Amino acid sequence: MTFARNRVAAFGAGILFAVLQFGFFFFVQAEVSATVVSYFSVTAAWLVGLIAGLWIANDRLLKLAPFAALAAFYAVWLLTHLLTFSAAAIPVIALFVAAGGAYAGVFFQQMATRAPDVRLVLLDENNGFVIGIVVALAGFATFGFFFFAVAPPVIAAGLVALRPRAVAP
Amino acid sequence: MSVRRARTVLVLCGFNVAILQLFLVKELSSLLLAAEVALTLVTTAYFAGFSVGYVVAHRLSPQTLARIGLAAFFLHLALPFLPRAVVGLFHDWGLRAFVPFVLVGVAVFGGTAFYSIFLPRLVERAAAGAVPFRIYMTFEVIGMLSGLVVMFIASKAPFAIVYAASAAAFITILHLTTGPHVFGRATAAVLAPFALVQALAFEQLDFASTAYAYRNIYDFKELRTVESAHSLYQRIAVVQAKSGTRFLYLDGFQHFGSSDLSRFNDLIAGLPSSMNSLGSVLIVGSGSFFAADRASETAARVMNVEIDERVAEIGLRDLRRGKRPAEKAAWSMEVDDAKHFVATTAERFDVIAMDIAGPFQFQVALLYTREFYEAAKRALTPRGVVAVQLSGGFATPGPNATRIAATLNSVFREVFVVDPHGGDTAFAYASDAPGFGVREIIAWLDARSIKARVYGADDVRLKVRATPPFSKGSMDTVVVEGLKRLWNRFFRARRP
Repeated sequence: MTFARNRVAAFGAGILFAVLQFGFFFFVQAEVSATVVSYFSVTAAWLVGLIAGLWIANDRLLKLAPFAALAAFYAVWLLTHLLTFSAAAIPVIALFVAAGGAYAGVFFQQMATRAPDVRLVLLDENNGFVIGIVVALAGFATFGFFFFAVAPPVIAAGLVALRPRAVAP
Repeated sequence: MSVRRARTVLVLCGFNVAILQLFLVKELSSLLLAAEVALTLVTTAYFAGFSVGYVVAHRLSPQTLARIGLAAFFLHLALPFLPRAVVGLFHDWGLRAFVPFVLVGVAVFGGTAFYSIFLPRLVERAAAGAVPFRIYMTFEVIGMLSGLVVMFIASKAPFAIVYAASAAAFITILHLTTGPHVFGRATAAVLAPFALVQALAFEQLDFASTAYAYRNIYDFKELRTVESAHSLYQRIAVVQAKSGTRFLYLDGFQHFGSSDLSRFNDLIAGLPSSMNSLGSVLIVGSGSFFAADRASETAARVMNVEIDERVAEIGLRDLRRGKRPAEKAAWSMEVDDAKHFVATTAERFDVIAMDIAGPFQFQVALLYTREFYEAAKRALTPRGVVAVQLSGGFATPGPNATRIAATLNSVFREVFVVDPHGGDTAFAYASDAPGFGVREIIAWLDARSIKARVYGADDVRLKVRATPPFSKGSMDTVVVEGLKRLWNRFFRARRP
């Protein structure tokens, strides 16, 4: 049961990561700048955060990380709305994006290292990510900013409810 | 495999995954006309390739992996050219409907599938607890970051150089992982000459495949490539027909070359500049800079703002052959995101002419929103005017034309529309206090023998009254129209 729940959680986490990334990119490119500097900053920040998450991960963080990622997401939304077209905001925004990436790192480290098959964690998360790209596009196109307001906490709540946990070896 | 070798393999895998994402997604989506839907289709296929690799990672014997690796290597060398050749061929054979599926297949199997085999495989093969998962994943992500940095730094260098680096990375991956099952220690030595030949012939192959694809996609009789490039923003191609006319394509859309586009420049820049003669004109976009030429016939000052410096360079060199834009006026160019420039500039303009593609991608659609037009209004002089193409006719307007006109109408007091007969698109001119009216517009059109229907502000208000404007949170037509374009382009039967 835990194994099945973990697989669903990995899939759901992938969807959440895709929605968060879509939102980060949209907020920054729509409200700050659409130049490649913005694109690379967001991408690099997420990846650096992912690495950091891999190295600070523990079971307690695994429970807290969805909330931190949500807080980071809405912080970026707020910052980009308040500091429109301010290049000086990019480093601060990057820190919050990195927090989103850190959740991904924490998730991978805790779930993959004690899963019976690390391949399945990667596979389920990636499948969720692929679906999440489509969900994000369709959701934003249909519901606009309401999608960003509702989708991330709903998905995160589902993840928290699933209570994915690293299975003891 | 030693930990050191494994880390090297993963860094190189991450490196190539990043390079390919930045190149392949643009390349393939431009062959699908690069609407947001096409971009998303190719991106999801690209990431789906990871799943393919994860599924097969544990099933492959070393010999099978070696054979797959060899095939993937030659596919990697062909990737910059093969999709174009296949798309051109399918168009020639009347098999357009298969093009999206072929390109999705290329994105899946030519992108990430091969590289994603290694992380789970190496983790599995490490003795339990011997090498933490996080070390391996860290090195793969470091590789991705390196790839990003290289693409950013080398953005102005010939892409052949960057691709040669990725080919070298691929050879190293094969040498370290499957070498014993292919050519042993000579693996790198055997494969390197292929990569070298590809690098040396890159430009010829690039130009030939571009010409072949565009000839068949756009029904040219003869075509040669003048320039083919990937900037960090888009795919750029300049081709020349037998007549000598040059055409500029950005992400597969034609931006210069046909007589329709010559009229486009007249209407997007020439007309509004004439109505505010001796004024200051801002043109969003560059391309051929012919819009700047038109504006300069009556303007005192013309400025282009262009986000993609590479497009401007190619336009100046290959379309204008070094001739300075807007020769009859003072001219300058800003390299910037137009939203950022318009919102932050202290200058005030008499005309802001939007020389951009239609709203088929979110990033371009943001330049059609109420928020952008409000910023543009603040950058205008009191009688200033914004000129926008409506991405369709206005007599029986499609969703985009009505939405754009409605958006302008929600920001400006007066919106006029000119809908040329037989043209692809109508044009809107929006201002709070225009120094001209329908009569002046008709006189300008008559003087140039341009047959068009002109809509006054009241007519426009009537036509758009029930239509919601575009805003940052309301851009659904980007997806809907993008789906229609894909369908019409590839799946709808063409009339004989």
